[in-house]
Amino acid sequence: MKHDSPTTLAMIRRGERAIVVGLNAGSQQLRNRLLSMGVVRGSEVMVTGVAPFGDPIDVRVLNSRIALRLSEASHIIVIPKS
Amino acid sequence: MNSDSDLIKGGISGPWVAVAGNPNCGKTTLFNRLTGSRYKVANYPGVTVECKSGLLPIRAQSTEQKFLQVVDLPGTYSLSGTSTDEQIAIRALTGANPPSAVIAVVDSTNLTRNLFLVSQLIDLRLPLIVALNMSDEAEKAGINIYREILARQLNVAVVKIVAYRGQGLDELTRAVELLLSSPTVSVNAFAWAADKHTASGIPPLLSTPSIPDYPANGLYAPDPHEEEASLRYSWISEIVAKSCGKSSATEPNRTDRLDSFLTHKLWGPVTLFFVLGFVFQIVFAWSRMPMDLIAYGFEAVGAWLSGIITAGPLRNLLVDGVLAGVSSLIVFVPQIALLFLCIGLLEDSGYLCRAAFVLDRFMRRFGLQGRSFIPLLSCFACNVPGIMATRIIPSKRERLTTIMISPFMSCSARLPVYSVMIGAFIPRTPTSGFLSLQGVVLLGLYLLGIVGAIVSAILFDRLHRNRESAPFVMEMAPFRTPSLRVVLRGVLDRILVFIKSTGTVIVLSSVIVWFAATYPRPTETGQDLRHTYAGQIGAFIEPAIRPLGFNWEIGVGILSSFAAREVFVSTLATVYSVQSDEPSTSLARSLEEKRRAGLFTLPTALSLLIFYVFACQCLPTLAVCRRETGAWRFPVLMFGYMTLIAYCMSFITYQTAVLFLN
Repeated sequence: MKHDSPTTLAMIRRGERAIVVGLNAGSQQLRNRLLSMGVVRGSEVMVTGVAPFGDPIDVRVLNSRIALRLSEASHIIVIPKS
Repeated sequence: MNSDSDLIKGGISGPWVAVAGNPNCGKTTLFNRLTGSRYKVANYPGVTVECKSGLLPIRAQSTEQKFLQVVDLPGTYSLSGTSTDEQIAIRALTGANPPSAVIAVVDSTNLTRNLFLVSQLIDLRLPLIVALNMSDEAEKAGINIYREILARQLNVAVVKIVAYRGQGLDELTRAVELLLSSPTVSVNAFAWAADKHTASGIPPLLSTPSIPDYPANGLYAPDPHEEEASLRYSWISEIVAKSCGKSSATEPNRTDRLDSFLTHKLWGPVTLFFVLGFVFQIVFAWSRMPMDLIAYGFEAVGAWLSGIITAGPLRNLLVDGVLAGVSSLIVFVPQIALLFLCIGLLEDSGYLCRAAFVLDRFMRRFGLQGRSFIPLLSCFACNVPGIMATRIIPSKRERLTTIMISPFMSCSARLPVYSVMIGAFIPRTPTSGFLSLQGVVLLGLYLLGIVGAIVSAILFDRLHRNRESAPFVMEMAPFRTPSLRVVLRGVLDRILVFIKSTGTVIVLSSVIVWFAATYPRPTETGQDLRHTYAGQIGAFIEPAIRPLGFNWEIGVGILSSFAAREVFVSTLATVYSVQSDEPSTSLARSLEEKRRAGLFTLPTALSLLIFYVFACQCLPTLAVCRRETGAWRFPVLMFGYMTLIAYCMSFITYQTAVLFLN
């Protein structure tokens, strides 16, 4: 597994996977929500879809999919998985 | 419905069982199944979140059957967040009267994430049962959960159920009975650290899991919440690995394939357009017939009553006041029922998230969010069900904004007013295109309302800059066949809540308006509005509305349309002594004569149209606004703000029109 440099989930393109490193900034409510839905260190995520205007994005986490606004996805630090 | 449990006056009293779980895990279906028809809906004190409490028949201690209170807690992903739903859940679970047992409903196809909440429930040291719902779907997906192993790992009772088919419910009830008779609490589940409290304030569990040794690259320092969540998930994935025949799958399934179409750049919006158009058609057009039937039915009852009660004030009160009031209340039911039927089906099937997903970016431009679209769309049919539908918006701030701009959407009750005025005053000349001038004006009125809504939404958004929006993070629920049972039950709940919360206001206002427009009665049988209370008030406000081009007769019409906007047409018909079965058309003709006679001018008509676009003088709307926001200041603000705008816009219209046309 090759590790690229860390980036945010907002930069990950459709069809690509990444490993979550952690969360930065963002409101406590947002962080709690993301954490409880499985966006924790070591989780694999995959961007499965993008809305017509590019925002929000549809991300697979654990065995379900969640929709995230780009502003929210930018708080999730990931390492792309190639 | 049984009212044994006095639930909401200051919290839950007596022994009770909580039903907790993630949203979309079938919790509601289970709750409905367990309680049957023995449940009621109420508000948690002080908030607008609804509480469902019911009675579950159980056999405890002796063999006699008795009822146990069951409360359906709001669906939450965790107990450590700060959202209203989570606050309510944690308060109910750790307050003065904690439940005797908790049924944690888990979506078997999503075991790992669902166990997060379960791990926190275990932390609370409450007697717990895990109900693995949707176990049929899990099997079909090749996920084999070994119930006994899972139970041993978690140290709680685990039952497999399929709630929507009613399978496993007996086993669940027996497990609840067993737990109540000999309550056991899970111990030795998970450890955070020997001497550290978890960041969320929930006491830590025991034992030590392994932490993934992933390099953090020194970019940031994980906060306690992250560490805790990370540890929980490590513990959970170990358990799932031991008790599951297949680990979390990452292959595409039916839902994923459907989604690649439904959230497609082009096909997403196209499908959405047709779906929403269909919903609108159902709510707007299919409700016509039931509404006419209801009106007809009440008229028939009125005729019958008139037959058996002698003429006089009592008969008038009962038939023209009370009965008309009840009729104007019940006439809302078809639209509410149809709208919530559509919303229920869309939500249960999973499509509602996709609609919100596609629309979110667009709606955010106006300070709204994706889910605001459907309630606002339904407001074009009627504001009342539209405002009620805003409950699908989870974020309080966007929900409030949506509610406050709802009356700008011209509802169908304004159509008679629009068509009468346009019919009498706008020439039928065709314009370039396929619409006549009349059509253009009508369209213009609707668009004007929408513009008003957009401006107000942006304004409200600016005003509430400091109030935080709830995170959008929305689960894209898997596509499932909607359960008609659950949806219909939801529709019934909405209708009952509507009647209970706004019934008195609507009927009372109708009676008051009737009274003011009828008394004092002149001695002859003629209907001279001038001497009635309504007429006197109309004359009193006339100086204030004359700059808008209105006279006292229009003033009376506006006042009486408080009870229902359509009343304006019949009031005006009365004023101009129009005696006919078709008040709209004959009124239009009568007005046309008056126009030619210079008594009712075009500027007045235009001003009146603009007034109706912006004025919120529909009491049922204000009553529903009060119910859905939980405070008086919102309907008061709504009324004041919109009346002010209506007055100003009307004034500008009239004065400009007079200037240009003279």
